Amino acid sequence: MRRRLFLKAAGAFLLWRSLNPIHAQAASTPTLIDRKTFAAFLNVLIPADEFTGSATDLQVDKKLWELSESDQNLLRLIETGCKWLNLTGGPPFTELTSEQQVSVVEWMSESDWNQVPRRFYELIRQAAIQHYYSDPASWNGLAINRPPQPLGYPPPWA
Amino acid sequence: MLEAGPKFNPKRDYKLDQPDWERHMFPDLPGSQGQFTIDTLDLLDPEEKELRSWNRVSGITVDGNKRKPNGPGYWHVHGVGGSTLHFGGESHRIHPKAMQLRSKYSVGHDWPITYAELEPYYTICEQLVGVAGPTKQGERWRSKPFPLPSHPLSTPAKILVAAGKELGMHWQENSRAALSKPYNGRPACNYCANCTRGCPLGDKGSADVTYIPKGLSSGQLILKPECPVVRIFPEPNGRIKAINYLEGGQLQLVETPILILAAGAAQTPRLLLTNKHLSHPKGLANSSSQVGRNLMETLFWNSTGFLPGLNNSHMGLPTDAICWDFNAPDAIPDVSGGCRLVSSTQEIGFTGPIAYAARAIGGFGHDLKKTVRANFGSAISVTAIGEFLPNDGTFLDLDPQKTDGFGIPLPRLHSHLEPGEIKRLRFMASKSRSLLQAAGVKHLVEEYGAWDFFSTTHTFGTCRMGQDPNTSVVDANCLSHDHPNLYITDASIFPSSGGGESPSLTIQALATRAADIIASGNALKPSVPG
Repeated sequence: MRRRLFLKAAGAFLLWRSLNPIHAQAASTPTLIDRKTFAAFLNVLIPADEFTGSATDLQVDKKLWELSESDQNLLRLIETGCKWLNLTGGPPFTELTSEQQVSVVEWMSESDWNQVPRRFYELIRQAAIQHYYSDPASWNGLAINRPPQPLGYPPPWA
Repeated sequence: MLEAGPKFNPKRDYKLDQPDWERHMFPDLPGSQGQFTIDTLDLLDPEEKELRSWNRVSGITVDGNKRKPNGPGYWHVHGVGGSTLHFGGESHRIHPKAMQLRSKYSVGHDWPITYAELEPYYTICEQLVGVAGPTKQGERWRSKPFPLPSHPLSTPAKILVAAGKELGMHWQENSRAALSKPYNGRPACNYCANCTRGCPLGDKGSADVTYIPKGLSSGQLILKPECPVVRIFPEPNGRIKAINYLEGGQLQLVETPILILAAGAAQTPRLLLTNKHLSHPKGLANSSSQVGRNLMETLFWNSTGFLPGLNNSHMGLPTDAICWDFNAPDAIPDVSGGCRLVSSTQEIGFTGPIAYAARAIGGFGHDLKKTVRANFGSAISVTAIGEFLPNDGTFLDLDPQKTDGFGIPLPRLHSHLEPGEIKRLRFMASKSRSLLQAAGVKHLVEEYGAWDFFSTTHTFGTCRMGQDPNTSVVDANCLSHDHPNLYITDASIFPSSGGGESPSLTIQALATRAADIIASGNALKPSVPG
C-alpha cells in the first residue's frame, strides 16, 4: 500500500513539474476543500496524542489562514500545496486512511527541495511548529508550564 | 544626548511573559535598525567543509558556494541603551596581551593604552553596572573584587565544567552584567534564560537601566531619542562647530563645544565619511584614510548536542560558564590570536520547544512530538569566539548606489576570512566538539559558524585608536587626531578585537575614561597589579 501510494505521489510530483511554478499561481479565497485538506495535512504533521491535542485542536489551521489573509505568498503556498495533495490520482487527501496520509507526507518530506511538495512540507511544518508550540496547551509533558517571565526559573535546576 | 533610535519600553516591547514568547526575538521597533549593505562575501573552499553550518532539520544551512549573511548579518540595536539592549550580558575585560599584538606577536595592532591604564575604569564600570563574577580570572588582574558574587551554574554549564576538567581545561563562572543579588534598586536575575530577547526585569546591565538613569539623575543630561545626526560642520581649523539632526522629521541645528560620537562600528564611520567638506575632502577625522579600514567581525562557532539524562538546560543564566585557557594571543598552536569557549545552550536559543522542533528534531507526526518531549531540556551547547585580525579585504565604505531617505549613502560592509581565521575556526570547532564528546554527547544536532555565515554581533575597528595620526583615527583618549573637540567612544576605535571577549565592558571603560579626561582634564592613575 505504501509503495502504491508512493508511486501515485511520485506520478503527481512529475505532473506538477510540468505545471506553473508557485509564484505564477493566482491567489484566491480558500475553498472548503482547501480548508479541509490543509487541516488534515496539519494533523498529520502534528497529531493528537495522550498528552496534547492536534494542530487543529490548537487552531493552527485557523491561525495560518488568518495570516494568509495578509500574506499572498502564504496563501498561494497553502493553495498550491493543497491542490498537490489532492492530485495523487486517487481519492482526495482527506479521504485517505491515516496510514496513507502519513505515507504521502513521508514522501513529501524526502522529495526534491526545489519542488512544490517538499517546499510546502518544510515551510508549513516550520509555521505549524511555531504556532503549535506557542500555545501553552501544547506544553503538557514538557518541562515548561509557563512563559519564562514574570516568574523566571529560580534554582535549583537539577 | 541624541539617540538615533527609539526608547524601548521593556514591559510593552519585550514578550517574555506572553504564551508565544518564543516566536519573538528582540523587538524591531521603527528606527531601531540602521541601514547598511553587505558586499559579495567569500567563496567557500570545499576543503574546509567540516566548518559548514548544518542542523538536523534543514541539513546544510548555507546553500551554494558562497558565504552568506545570517539574518541581517550585522546585528545591532539603535535605541536608548544601544546594542546592550539585546546583548547577552557577558562582562569581560580584554586580555592584557591582546592589547599588544603588534609588538609581541607581529600581527594586528597595538593599543595605545595599557590594561593598567584601563583597569581603574573597568572597576568603575563594573561597580556601576553590578557585574557578578568570580574572584579570579587568570591574567585579567583586578584592583577590586567584582561587586557581586557569581551566579549559580545551570545544568549544562556544570556538565561542561566537568567535561573540561576531564580534558585538562579550566572552566569557571563567567563574569556577567546580570545581578546575582538586588543592587542599586534593581532586582536580582530570576534566571529566565532569555537575556537576548530583552530583559523586562532590569537586572541585566544594559545601558538604559545603568548609565542612562545615572546621567539623567545628575540633571546634566538631556536625552533625545529618535533624533539621528545627519550633518556635522567643522570650522576650517578642524574644530567641530555644529551638527544637524532630525527631530520629528524636521532638521535641527545645534552648536556643540564637544562632539562625542558613539554610533557603532558601522554608523560612526558612515557619519564621518559622508560629511565631506572643503577642509576635509575625505570626510571627517579621515586625514589618515583609515576611517572604515580595520573592520573586525565576530569569528564564532557553535556546536550543540542532546545529552541523555540532562534536564532543564533551558533554565538559568545564559553563558554562565567560560573557559579562558585559549584566550591569550599565543594560546592556539600555529596561529596568533586566541579564543574563549562558553556554555551557550540558552544563549543560542534552545530555551523553548520551537527551537527543538525547528532546528534539532526533524520529521513529523507522533515521532516528532514524542522526540521533542523526550529531549526537551537536554540540549547542551558550546560556543567559541575568537580573535579576528584586521585584513585588507575586511572594511567598510560607502555604498556607491544605495542611499537612505535623505540621499545619504549607506555604509557597505566587506568581509574576508584569511587563512589564520580559518585555522582559528578549525581549532574552535575542534575544541567545541571534543568538549561535547567528553560530556557524553553521542550525536550533534546543530553546528554553525563564521566560515559560511557572516553574522557579526561584536563588530570592531573602522576608526582605529593609535598613537600615530598617519595610521589611526583617534588617540589614546578617544580624541580625533584631526579635530580638537571630536571624540569617538564605541567599538569602532578598538585596535584589536581581543581573543573573543565580549566588548561592552571595554567600550564602557574607554568611554568613561574619555569622559573623565573631558571633565577633569586627566585620567585616573594606572592601577598596579596586586
